[in-house]
Order: sequence, then C-alpha cells, then structure tokens
Amino acid sequence: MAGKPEFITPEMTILEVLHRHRQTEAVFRRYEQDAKGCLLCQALFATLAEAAAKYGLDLDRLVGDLEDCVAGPTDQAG
Amino acid sequence: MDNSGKNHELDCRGLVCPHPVLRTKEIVELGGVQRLTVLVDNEAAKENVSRFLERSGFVVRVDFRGGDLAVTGTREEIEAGQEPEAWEEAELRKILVLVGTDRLGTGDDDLGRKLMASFLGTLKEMGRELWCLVLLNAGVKLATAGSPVLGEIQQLADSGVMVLVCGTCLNHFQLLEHKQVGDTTNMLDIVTHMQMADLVIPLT
Repeated sequence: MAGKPEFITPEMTILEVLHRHRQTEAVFRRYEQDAKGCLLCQALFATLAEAAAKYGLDLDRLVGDLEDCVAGPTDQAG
Repeated sequence: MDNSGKNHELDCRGLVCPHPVLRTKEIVELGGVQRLTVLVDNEAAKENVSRFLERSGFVVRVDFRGGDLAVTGTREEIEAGQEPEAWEEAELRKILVLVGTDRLGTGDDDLGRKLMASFLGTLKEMGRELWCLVLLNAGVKLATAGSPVLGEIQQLADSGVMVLVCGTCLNHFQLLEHKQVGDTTNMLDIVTHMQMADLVIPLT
C-alpha cells in the first residue's frame, strides 16, 4: 500500500474499518484490554466515536493507531 | 449445501467476531442473494450476523441446528415458484417511523407522555408494513431503563421491527449504558434507512 493511508474518521463504524482494512483487527483486539470487553463482539456496528465514548477509549489515539496500522509496512489484508 | 446464485449457506462455526459478519457481508455483496443461512456456534456471532442481515434488508430467523445456530436471512423478493405469497410481500411497503421526542404534541407534558405510550402500544397495528422505528433526541429515552414503554418497544423488536437508537443522542443524555432495546446507530445509518423506506413518518 503506497502513499497516504485512506482516511479513517470517527464516524466510520468498526465494521466499515475492518471491512476495508482487515489488518486493523489487531488494533481493535489491543484496545479490548482498555475497553474491558470485546469491541469486535459488542460494538461492531458502532462508530469509532460511539465505541470510544461507551468504552472510555481515547478516540484520537484509536483513530491514529488505526491509520498507522493501515499505513504500516505490515499490510496483511485478508 | 446450496450455493446457487440466490441461495447460499455459510459455515462460520469456529469463527469469532468479526469474521462471521465479514464473510456474510462478502456473500451479500455478491448481489442477487435472496436467501442466506449462516451457521454459527456462539451468541455474539448470532447477534451480529442477524443484525447485519436485518440492516441489509433481510428478514431474519434463527433456528437451533444440533448444538449450533442457523441464522437465515430471506429477502422480501419474488422467488420462482412462490409468486402468490411473494407478490403479497412485494406489495408491502416499508414504513419507517422516526420518533424525535419522548412525548406527543404540545400543551401538557404528562398528557404527551401518555399519548406517546399509547402511540407506541398501537404502532403494531401497522402490521408487517412497520419496518423500522428510529429513536433520536429525547426519543432515545423511550428505549432506556425506566421507560414506561420499554415493553412496547421490545415487543416491536421481537416481532421483527428494526429499532434504531441514535448513539449521539444516547451519549448526549449520558444514557449509552442504560439502553435496553434496539441497536445503537449513527446518522449515516438513519439516513440510509430513511432512503430505503417507502414511507417515513416523522414525529418530532
């Protein structure tokens, strides 16, 4: 994946992000410790903003981590 | 296993979320799918696959199959060999009721709340045409703990009506964790459903 990553916005649902960038699953799994719950089970249809509000996550950091993941060299889509 | 153009069966046993939903989405996006059965073995996958199929315009049924769960989505389209019944389905409108308040009318708030309770209790009379109930602004309070109409809304949801609850609004009222019924949703989802509906009835 060359160039600037596709923009990830707080209004995107977790499902949208995962569908476009499968490699982001690892990021969401990482945040489950902070969320104290399974984001991918319980918040799949929530927007990033809603999930952050509900589970007390740092939204900016989450979006940033997702963008880093998408832009990163280890693009393991699929 | 039937995976012809219109009918599909997907075995997602052993998969954890989000994979059953992602695989279901891939099949649905092939287009032309009228019936899709997804076999899952955990509650979260059942809930999420059901929710995804409902949002994609399928009528969803869940059956026990052995120790597993079979989530079957059927699109309300005319299928070969089922013309009479299907025709009836095709004639049904999709009605979306948008409730942007927790009381009906102006003048007396107590009366307004009673009227809203009566309205939601009567809404089922729309029958199968009632497709979606959207709750936003103070309307989200109706779906939270302590709401006098929780039972009525749960009954609608149980009968197959899609209940969408505005997440921004829940957050505004600090009620995110008190929602008891319906799917928390966003404005894009609400707008999409308004576009898909044949008739939108707004109560604000």
